[in-house]
This record gives sequence, C-alpha cells and structure tokens, in this order.
Amino acid sequence: MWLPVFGLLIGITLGFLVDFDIPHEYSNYLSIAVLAAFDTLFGGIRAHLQNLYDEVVFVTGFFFNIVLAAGLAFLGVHLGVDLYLAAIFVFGVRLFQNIALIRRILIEKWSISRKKQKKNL
Amino acid sequence: MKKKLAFSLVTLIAGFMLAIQFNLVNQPVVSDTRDMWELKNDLLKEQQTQVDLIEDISKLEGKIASYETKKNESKEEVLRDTLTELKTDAGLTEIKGSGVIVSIQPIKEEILLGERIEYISPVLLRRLINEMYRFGADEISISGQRYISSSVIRDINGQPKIDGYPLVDYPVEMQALTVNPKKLKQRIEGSELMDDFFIDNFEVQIKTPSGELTLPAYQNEINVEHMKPIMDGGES
Repeated sequence: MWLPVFGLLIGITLGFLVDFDIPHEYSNYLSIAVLAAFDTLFGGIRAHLQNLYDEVVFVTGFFFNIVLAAGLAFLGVHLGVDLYLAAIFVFGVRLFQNIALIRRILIEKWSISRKKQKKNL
Repeated sequence: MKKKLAFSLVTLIAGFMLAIQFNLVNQPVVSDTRDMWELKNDLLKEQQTQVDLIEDISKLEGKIASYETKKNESKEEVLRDTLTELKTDAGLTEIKGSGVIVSIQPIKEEILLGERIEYISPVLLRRLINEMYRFGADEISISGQRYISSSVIRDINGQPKIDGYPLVDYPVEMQALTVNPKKLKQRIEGSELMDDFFIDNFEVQIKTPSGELTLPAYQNEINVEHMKPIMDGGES
C-alpha cells in the first residue's frame, strides 16, 4: 500500500533535485503527459479497489496514454487546432470519474466495516 | 509484490514528470532592473561582440576563398608545369642553353680537285648523334631540325634526310646543348668519328660559342600510334 506512495514521493523529490530542464515549447506536451499519467494512475487505483486490476493493461495504458496525449498535442500544434484541449477534457473528466468512484468505493467499504462493528457491538 | 513494484515504478515516473512540470511552470521571472545607461552599455557590449563576430566570419571566409583559389591555381599550375615539362622533354619547345656547334663540310681540297661530293652518309650521322649523346649532349638539332626520340635520319632517293628535310646544303650544322660545351667539344674531337668523316671526305669543325644557343622546336606532328588520351576525366 505504501510502496506506490513512496515511489511517488521519491519521483517528486528526484524531479526537484535533478536540474532537468526542458524547453518551454514542450511544457504543453509535458503537462498533458502528466495529466495522462495521473488519469492512468487513478484508473489503476480504482481497478485495484474493484478487483479488476491487470498489470499489463495498467503499465501499457500508462505509457500509451502519455504518448497518445503528447502525440495529440503535437498534431494539434501542426494542424492549428488545439487538440490538446480534447485530451485535457477527456483526461480531466476521467480523472474526476475515477476519483469519484474511488471515493464511493472507499465510503462503501468504510460503511460496511462500520456496520460490522455495530453488529459486533 | 511484483504488482506493487510496477505500480510504484509508474508512480515514480508520474511524480518525476509532475516535479519537472512544476519546476517548469514555476520558474521565477527575473525582472530587468537595469536603468537606461546600463542598458546602453550592455547594448554597446553586444554590438561590439557582433562586430567582432562579423570580422571573424569575414576573415575566415577570406581564408576559405584564398584556399579555394590556391587549390584551383595549384591544380592548373601543376598540370601546366607537367605539360611544359613533358613538351620540353619531347622536344616540342624551343630551348636555349650553352652548347657546341658542329659543322660538317666537304674538304675543300677535294672540291678543288674536282671530285664529286657525296652526301653525308646517314649511318655516319646517326653514329655522330649517338656519340654526342654519349658524350653528354642533351638536345641536338641538325640544320635547324630538332632531333627528337622519334626522329629519323635516312637515305631517301639518294639524299640523307632528317624527318624528310634534306641535308644537302653545306655546311651541315649541328647544334648540341650541353652543360659543359668544352668537354663535349674535346670528346668529339678526340673520337674516331673525325677519321670516319675524313674517309668520306668531310671535315668536322667544332665551335663553342660564348653566347647561348637556341634550338628550334620540333616542327612535325608526333604520331602516337599505340596510346590515346582518356577523355572526360577518365575512369579512375
């Protein structure tokens, strides 16, 4: 349970410590990639809670979504259409849905455990 | 465990990306606090740098141009030099230098006696030329005809001819260029050739003029039978 959180923290500190600079022109792509990554992450957490988690799907989904999002943004830049907005929209909606689902599942689990506790009392 | 590891790896990457993006977005904007004079000074500095760079560029370009011209010139020059050298070697150019003049004429006493004057034997002439080369002559001409490697001296219709030019007017004058004319003269005088010419009723006089001799260029075409030039740069 704590290992993924630990990984996230390590990643963040590493990112801050390492003086890794990318050109400003690519900040768009990175932001959308970050969004895609978080979408996949929360999707993975939800799947885990629903017992639907599949490692291959998760890992491939993670990388594929990042590449797809960045590719979409790239295409948008070259077509003159802000296609990255579509990606942001999709990922944003899915992020909210996933988080909502996670919240519901957690509440459900919590209420079940409380009922059990009440019964025991 | 393996499941968690993969998940952790993904979260690590996501965290990394997040941090970088955060850094990127939150780069502090450095405000420009220079006043007009400082700006002017900086501008001046940059302009100086620009001027220096432009100077460097023009210098280097000049160098490139000079190298190019040198390359072209040197190629042409080398070719031209080689051509001249080859032409000189082949005897196609006029050549000047120190040398001896060998004049061959019938013995006067024989003319007085009324004997018929024979022509110079081509065999004897060829021998004389060979001997002269052996004695150190570099270039030879006979009666204004340059003697080259493909020249022929032979009897045509009873007349000795060099490359088709008759040697019937006396004295037949041979000019030979050599580094050391005196030595050549002495060696010819000391050879048996004098006697051979004498037997044929010719006398040979050798002079070493103080000035330079000028040998004419070979006048005929040199026929090259078994070689042909390679056109358009060749296949190599």
